[in-house]
Amino acid sequence: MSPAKSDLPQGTLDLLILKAVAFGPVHGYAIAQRLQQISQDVVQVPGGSLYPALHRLENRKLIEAEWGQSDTGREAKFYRLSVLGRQKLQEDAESWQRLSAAVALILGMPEGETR
Amino acid sequence: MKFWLGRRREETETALDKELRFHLEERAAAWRAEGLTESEARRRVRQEFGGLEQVREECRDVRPGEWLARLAREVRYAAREARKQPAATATVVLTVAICIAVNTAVFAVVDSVLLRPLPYAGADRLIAMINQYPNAGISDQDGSSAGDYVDRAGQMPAVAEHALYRPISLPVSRNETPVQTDGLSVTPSFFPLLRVRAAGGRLFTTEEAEIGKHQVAVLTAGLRRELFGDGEAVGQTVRISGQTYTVVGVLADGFRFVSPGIRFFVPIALNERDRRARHANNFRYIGRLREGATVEQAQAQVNALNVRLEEEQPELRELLRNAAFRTDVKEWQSWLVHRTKTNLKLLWAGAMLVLLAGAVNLAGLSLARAHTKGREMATRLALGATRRDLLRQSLLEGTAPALLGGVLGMAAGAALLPFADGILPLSGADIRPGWLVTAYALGGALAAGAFAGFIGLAPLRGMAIAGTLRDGARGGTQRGTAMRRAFVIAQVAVAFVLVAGAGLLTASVQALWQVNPGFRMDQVWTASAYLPAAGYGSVDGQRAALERATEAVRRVPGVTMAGGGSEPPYQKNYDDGVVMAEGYTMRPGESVISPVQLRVGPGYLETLGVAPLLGRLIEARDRRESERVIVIDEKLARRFWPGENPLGRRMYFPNSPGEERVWMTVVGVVRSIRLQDPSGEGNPNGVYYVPWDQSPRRGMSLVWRGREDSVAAVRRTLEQALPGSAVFHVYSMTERQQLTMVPREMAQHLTLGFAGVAVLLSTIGLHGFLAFLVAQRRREIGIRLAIGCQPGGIYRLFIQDGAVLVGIGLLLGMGAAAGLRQWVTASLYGTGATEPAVLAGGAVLLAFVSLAAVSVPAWRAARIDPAAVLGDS
Repeated sequence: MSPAKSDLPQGTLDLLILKAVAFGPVHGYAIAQRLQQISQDVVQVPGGSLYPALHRLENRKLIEAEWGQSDTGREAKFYRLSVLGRQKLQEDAESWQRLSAAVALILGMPEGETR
Repeated sequence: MKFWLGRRREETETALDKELRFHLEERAAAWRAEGLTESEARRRVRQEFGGLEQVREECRDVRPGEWLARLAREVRYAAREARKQPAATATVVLTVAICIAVNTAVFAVVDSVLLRPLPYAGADRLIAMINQYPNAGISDQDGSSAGDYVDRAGQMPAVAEHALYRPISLPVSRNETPVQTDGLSVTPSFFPLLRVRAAGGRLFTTEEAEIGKHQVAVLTAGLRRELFGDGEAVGQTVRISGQTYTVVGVLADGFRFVSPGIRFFVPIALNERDRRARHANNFRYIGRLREGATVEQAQAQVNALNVRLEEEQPELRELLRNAAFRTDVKEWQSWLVHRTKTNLKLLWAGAMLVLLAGAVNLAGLSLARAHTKGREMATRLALGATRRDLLRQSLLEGTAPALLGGVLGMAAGAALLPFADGILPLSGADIRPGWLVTAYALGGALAAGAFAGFIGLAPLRGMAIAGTLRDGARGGTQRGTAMRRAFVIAQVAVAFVLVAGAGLLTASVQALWQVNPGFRMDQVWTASAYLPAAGYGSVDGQRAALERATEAVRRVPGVTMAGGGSEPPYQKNYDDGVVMAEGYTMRPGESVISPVQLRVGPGYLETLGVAPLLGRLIEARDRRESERVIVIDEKLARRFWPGENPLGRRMYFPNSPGEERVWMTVVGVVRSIRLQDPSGEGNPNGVYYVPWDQSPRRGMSLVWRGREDSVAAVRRTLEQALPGSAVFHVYSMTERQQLTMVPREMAQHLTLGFAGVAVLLSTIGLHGFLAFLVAQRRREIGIRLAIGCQPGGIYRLFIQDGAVLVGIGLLLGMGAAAGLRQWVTASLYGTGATEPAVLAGGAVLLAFVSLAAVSVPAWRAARIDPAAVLGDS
């Protein structure tokens, strides 16, 4: 059936969206698709969370939006990273990697050693 | 501006829709590509995506300034809801409007009088200094002496500025007939101390306090207009008490000192004797604290000064100590209002109770609505609205009409204010609503509305959504009903407290009208006149004036008796003077007393129907050159000669060393009368009467018995007999009593109004609740009736239900009234005996009205048609 889904830790969605829009202008639907594909279906962002997050990031000037033509020839709203967003992405990605490495280290401890 | 905002919002909304639609359609296309049918794809997408409206809402929420737009949306929704139920909304608006009108009016007075500083720069540093002699019966006076002013200037480091003032009432004119006008004589330091400047001309100079240079006046803007119209006033002359004064300055419009009735100012000219006078207490004292100094410091300094002065005057030391003489230093504004403060606070409490009753009523209404809205709310919850959304919506639905009511009520309350201005003499404040009143009124309305909205949600707490959707409104109603029951009880209790208060005040006023003051009221009339210095400066002129005036009045057709004296009964202020008795030895520590002193001519006491108990009254033979005599009342007789006959004994006024002592023989004893107030308040030491001829003065009054149609003729006669003087205060004794009753009747009428509103509110609340109970139990009633229950039984069932609520409410109200009793009874007169009857009457009245309110829905219940009800389902 479908692979086990994980709940995203608080604030992670913003980071993932920033990463997803870092490759160039992309519309909301494509962002959702991209996150799902790359994470091999582990991350599934319902529209109910995605769009408020996009609008929030836009309001905080981390991403910029522009209307354009989609692959299917329809009008769609395309998002891309702003200068501010690129900085934010870099900082957050680094801190996330540090943290996840640390968590991995801790979880990787052989269990007998604590005695 | 508004247009632009609107258009931008619209664009944003369309863009959002377009963006979301794109997503949904792309997704649907993807599902179709996987082989789903059109409708399956759509369903799948909806499932994945979540509630579209909720997503929209959340996207809007992250927009800057969104809360404002959201509020506007919710207000529009609330307004739509309100329009759907015009009767309920009108009830809310009206309830709040009435409560807020009451509160605005009362609080505007409280704010103006108690809270807002007086309109003088640095008014918080103004102080009053008052000499008190509690053991001599003088403990709530406002006097100081010129000697104090001389002593204290320069001797009290904490007080930077000092001034004396004295209310005066004198005939003032330009050329035409003089008009008795209230004014103030003040030391030249007075205006600088208040930081007041002249709007035209100048204020008083130090030299103008010298006799001979003192005939200058400062006018208020109002009096200036009256006397001079559009012409220039400064440099012109006016006649005050028959003497010519030069107008040196005019005050700004809106200036007032203590009472708006005070309209002109003249300097106090002190002679050497005045400057040495201590304990004469014929002036009032105002001071200004030095920057940083405190009232306590000033108090300590004046105490030390008084001790020093007592050491210097050994002859007075004993007397002052026995009288427990002290000088109080009080913050000026609080001293001005200290007599009205308690009453104002009680009124305020009453107004707040009315607001509380109103809020409870709104909460009841809101609960009632919650029952009918339960299904709608459950639907919204199911559609993804959060509980916070519902709370916000409910609060808004509560507050929006309340706020409207608040604004209406504030306007109505402000319109009532001009009436309040006349009721509070001597408060010093200009009664008008300030920003604090606005905040109080709108805050009260908002709080009441929010309370109602919040309570309206109570049944929703813990409500099972599915159950409510299925059963309609029944989920969660148990708690709501219990709460409404409690509210109805609370309302009855509050209404009872106010009814009881109003009843007691009414009983008190009634009792005062029944009082026998010890003198005749029926067909007795009074008038006052002030003899101008010009023509009446000599004591002989003053003697002749009273005799002439009395004789002239006696000859007026319709007048049967007349007499003259210094003041009529039921006047605000009377002279008092220490009097001693020959051979009376004071106990150690006993104080001298200062009873009221009336100077009367022959016929004065006779006209008032005061008969001698012993001896005689003042007669025509008591002339200047004849033996000095005095008539005393029972109180004085008992004090100085207990168990003995005072006739023929001698009395005297305390004399300064070196002055000759003047003896007066007691020729009569009369009953004690309630001279100052029908309640018997006033000087507790009694009254003595001395012949006008032996100590005349310029202010005099006439009393006469006669028909009402002779009053105008008496007035004319007096004006002719006393040329140059203004005749004023022409009143019947009943009118005089009416004047003493004004503050009490005002409180009575206000409290009656409060009680009326509270009863109305509790009636509405009871009726609403019972109607709700009946509606809720329609089916059950229908079944009961169908299986043979008598309509009378149904009627009794609901009447009983209501009676229990009313009964508990009354009991609680009685408990509260008993708890509050001691605060109220102090300001009541003669209600001790009638109190139980008044309370019982209030309870019966309230029970009657309440049961009438209950019986309407009960009657409707009894008339339910079982066939119709059972047919419904």
